[in-house]
Amino acid sequence: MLSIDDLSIAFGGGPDASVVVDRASLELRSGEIHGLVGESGSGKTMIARSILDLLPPDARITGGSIRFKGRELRALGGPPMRALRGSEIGMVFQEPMMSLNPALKIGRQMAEAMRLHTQRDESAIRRQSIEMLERVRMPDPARCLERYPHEFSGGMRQRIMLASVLMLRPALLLADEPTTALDVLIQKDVLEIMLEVVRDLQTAVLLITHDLGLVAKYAQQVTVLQRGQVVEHGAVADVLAFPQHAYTGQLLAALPRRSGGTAEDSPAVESSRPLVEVENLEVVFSRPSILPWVRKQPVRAVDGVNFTIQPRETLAVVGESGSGKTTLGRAILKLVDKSGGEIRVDGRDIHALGSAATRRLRRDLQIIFQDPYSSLDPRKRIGQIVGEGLRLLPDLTGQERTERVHQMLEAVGIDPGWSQRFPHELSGGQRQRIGIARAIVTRPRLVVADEAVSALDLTVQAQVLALLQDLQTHFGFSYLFIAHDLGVVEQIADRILVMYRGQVVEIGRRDDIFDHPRHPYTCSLLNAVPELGGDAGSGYRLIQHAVACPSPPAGWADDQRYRGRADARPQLVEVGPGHFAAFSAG
Amino acid sequence: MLKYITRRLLMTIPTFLIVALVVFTLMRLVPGDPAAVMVGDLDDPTILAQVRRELGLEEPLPQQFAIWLGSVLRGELGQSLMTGEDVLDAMLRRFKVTAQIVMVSVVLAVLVAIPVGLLAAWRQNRTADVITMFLVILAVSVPSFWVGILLILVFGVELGWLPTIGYVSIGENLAEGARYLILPVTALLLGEMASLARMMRSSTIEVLRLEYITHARAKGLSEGVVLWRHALPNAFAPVLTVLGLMLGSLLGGAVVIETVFTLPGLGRFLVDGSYARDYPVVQGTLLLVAAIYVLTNLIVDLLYPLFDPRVRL
Amino acid sequence: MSLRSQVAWMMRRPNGVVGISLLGLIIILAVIGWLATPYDPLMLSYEDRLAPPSASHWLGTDQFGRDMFSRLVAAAGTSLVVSLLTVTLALVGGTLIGSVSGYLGGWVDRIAMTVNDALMAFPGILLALGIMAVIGPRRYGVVVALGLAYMPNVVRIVRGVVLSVREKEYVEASRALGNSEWYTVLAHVVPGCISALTVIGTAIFGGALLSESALSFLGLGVPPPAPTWGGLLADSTLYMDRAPWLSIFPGLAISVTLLGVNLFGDALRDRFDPRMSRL
Repeated sequence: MLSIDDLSIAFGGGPDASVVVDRASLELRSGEIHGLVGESGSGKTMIARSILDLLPPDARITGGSIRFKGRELRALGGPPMRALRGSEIGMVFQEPMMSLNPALKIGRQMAEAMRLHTQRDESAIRRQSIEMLERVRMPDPARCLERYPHEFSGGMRQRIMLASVLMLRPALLLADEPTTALDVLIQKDVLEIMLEVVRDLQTAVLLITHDLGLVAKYAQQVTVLQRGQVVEHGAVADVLAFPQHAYTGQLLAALPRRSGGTAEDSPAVESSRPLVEVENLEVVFSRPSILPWVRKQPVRAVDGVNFTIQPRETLAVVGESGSGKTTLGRAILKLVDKSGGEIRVDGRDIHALGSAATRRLRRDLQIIFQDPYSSLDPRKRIGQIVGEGLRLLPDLTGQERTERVHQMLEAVGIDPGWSQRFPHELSGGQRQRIGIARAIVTRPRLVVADEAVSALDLTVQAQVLALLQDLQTHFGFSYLFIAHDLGVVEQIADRILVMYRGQVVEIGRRDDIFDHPRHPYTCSLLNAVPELGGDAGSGYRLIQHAVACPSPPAGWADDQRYRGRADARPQLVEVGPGHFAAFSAG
Repeated sequence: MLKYITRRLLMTIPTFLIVALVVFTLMRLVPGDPAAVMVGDLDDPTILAQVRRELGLEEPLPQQFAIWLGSVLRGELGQSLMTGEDVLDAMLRRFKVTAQIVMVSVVLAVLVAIPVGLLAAWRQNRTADVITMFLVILAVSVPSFWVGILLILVFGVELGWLPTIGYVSIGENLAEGARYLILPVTALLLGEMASLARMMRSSTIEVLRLEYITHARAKGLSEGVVLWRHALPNAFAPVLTVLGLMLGSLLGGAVVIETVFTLPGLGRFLVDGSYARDYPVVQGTLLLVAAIYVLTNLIVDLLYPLFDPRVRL
Repeated sequence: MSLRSQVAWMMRRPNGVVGISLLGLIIILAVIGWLATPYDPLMLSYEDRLAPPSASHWLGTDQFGRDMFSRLVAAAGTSLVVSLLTVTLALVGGTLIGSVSGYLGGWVDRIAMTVNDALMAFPGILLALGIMAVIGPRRYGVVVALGLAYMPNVVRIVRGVVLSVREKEYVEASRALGNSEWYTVLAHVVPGCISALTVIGTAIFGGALLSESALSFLGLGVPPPAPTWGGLLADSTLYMDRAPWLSIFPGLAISVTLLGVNLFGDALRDRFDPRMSRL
């Protein structure tokens, strides 16, 4: 149905043109779900956009052909192309926040395409809109039509987008990273809905994503792109089992997996005194209101959390947005005030310390941030950035400082000769290494990694994770590794703490959590992410997870929405050695 | 939505108060006896004493402010030292003139600048855009009073087509009034219109980059519809805020234009008053102009949710 | 990014080139005006009143026989100096207030913003007029009046930048490294404002120039006998029928300068905006 031959796309013109897609070819048959996989800069979005002639202003197709149902799309002028858009080929975009016009009501936006491409009257269109919204499981569809995009969450907006695009029953759907910006559980929901509707309507889908797991689970065919070139394609099962090209192999190998280090190997010794103890921590934010007599409900970001971190251990904190994990990390570093409970480092309450003592404390507690682009001051040179932490060690001489900075740069794999460069001269992965160097320059004992690899490409992610593990072995610090999905922490975590809405839902050793989860929320998280297993030697395949959650232990009740009533906090019940899960009193 | 309106309305009160405070302070900064400042050259000691009592000069300053504020709110703004007429009456009379000029300018500016900006953004970096932007920069760089003078030179002195002095209200005689208005309005609005077009253009460029525009195109909508229905409301919203600010510069520009064309408006009233140290006039005009400005911005802010529903929360 | 590469960038854009050239021209004229003019700008010469442009008087003479060209270039210096001083006052004051207010937030910010909004309720020139009415016509009074009139705009812009920078992770990183709030603000927040300040600085410079001319035109600016472009324009209106050229040159001078400033400001904005988004 869709046939792309030797397509080439470039930005700009003349000798300075930069090629983004280089003679890519692709075949899509009707009813088929085809995954187009690549990292950032691979050109996958450009290919999708070129099909509908929606390239950004300075990009041009420089060669090749795109045929849809036998017609050459490049030969189409304005009106015939517009007639095609939406009615035959639909497109769903990545950013749910910005893909709907904030100034228009939903109903209006949904009806627009129908009105353009079909002759149906208003009431028929309205009926169809409501029906479609029901298909994507939106609550109260009729009222949705009257509301504005900002009244809906990201996941809901994406479903609305799907409904409005699929309403016209296009023969082909271009889905450009449709769920990347969403939380893990919502991602799964939206994808399943999308695929259900697509199956019913017999629509072919070009699923563009960087996530091989999704492709493995949902697609039949796959094409792998590396820097604008197609390096491999074929049936999903085949490609996974016998990847032909080195890059595909790299991508597959980069997926985080539980390698060697098991509980026995881990140097974390439980009998020694914990490095960090958190007891009943509460962090409550009150929202200010202008009128003094109106009191708004405070937000309980962290609501009674207990755990410890041993020296040389990696404790992963996993939760979706709103779980409080970020606030937790900040509170331990004393970057955010606590509202209750105690945090002790080496036995001392960190909130009882004066400012000088706090400054000394900071040598031991550091943080790596998520966004490699906004976590480094664009005006400072790399050497300055890494060395800034040394202000906490006033006893070092200038010579010693420079040496330390160089040491750290080498440790993270950056050439010390680059100290005079600026952040914007480096790639995302390199910038993240600088962020790591900055955090460890004072040889801290605890490093909080706040979604430190979430913004990185898959292959880069794998490298950085490996680096973090090396550093831990070498320097001996503990990690508090914050992440939003369990897959990432599989490799690096010794113990895992799962959070939901400010409370601890389950905590235990990594293998226990992955193999024997006890809390329903943990189970949902595990089931939401498709997992690939295997290795380069024997090939990869999709692991059918479907972990079934066992029922709660005797005397305790499960909770419908994962947490207890507001007045009675669920308690952590021991379900195995060192393994606790939250249940309400039965 | 109601919350937004209430909140916005409430915010105007402290603004007004501070505006009043600023004017009050300004007036009190004039060297000399405040009573004499307000009364002028009159030598009569009884009148001076009476004014002193009225102003409450024996009381502590905050109280004086309260008294002063009270009389301002009652409309008692004193008498002009130049002409003896009641300041409030004189201002309101002249305000009609200024209002006509400014209103006509605003309407014309919006009618022309918005489409021009939109189109320039659409054809970004192509010939039409480049030419438009060039004209815009020229228009913005030329002082309005000079344009006024040039217009007088060409149309008044050389060609004698249009009157250059004096004024007829369009309320009384539409055609005649229009003839008197053409030159001042043109001089006044050239710069503002250009500035507005530029704002609109950059706002539209920003909006056109956003994903929902691509989505609209992906639905198969023609460029015209995409621009008009999707880009315009979103691009217009920030420009609406600027419109409020533009009123301020129009009022400022009116001051000079009224002087160039000798129109009996509020602006010239202020200028004459400043020149002649007619403090009741200066005080009154400053208060009135500021009040108009605050009110207009209030209206603009209340209109904003029409274009950007996100604000309604 | 070194200064040299920035200048080179500027030179490649028509905006920048034309803008800088025009400005350069005006500055040169101003320097001439300061050092040595063909005639003494203040010298009266009744025989040559209202003479049209000629070889001896390039731009003609005014109603007192004073050479137009000399007065024009002398006025250039006045306008430029006043505008420059105004910009400095507005930028320094505005940055201080805006950054403190933006960084601290809370009630300090609320109060400051309410006051700022109130001040913005006075259109610039009207506030300046009011202030001039109070202090009388003085050269540096103009600077104070205009500086205060433009400061609220700077406050608002600086506060905006500070608010967005404040949330950036590198600011948080600075605090995590143990730096005090003061150090964080000075080392990380304020430098982020520089580009915005440059852009608005040029805008204010243009605005101040325009306002200063307007004030002089109205007779409420820098006092005579110092020549100012606005003043020259004002004088010319009395003789429009007899000596129209007197009205053209001062206005042209203002326009050319403003054009240069605006073009340069545009080039600056182009320079900093895409860069900011890339960061």
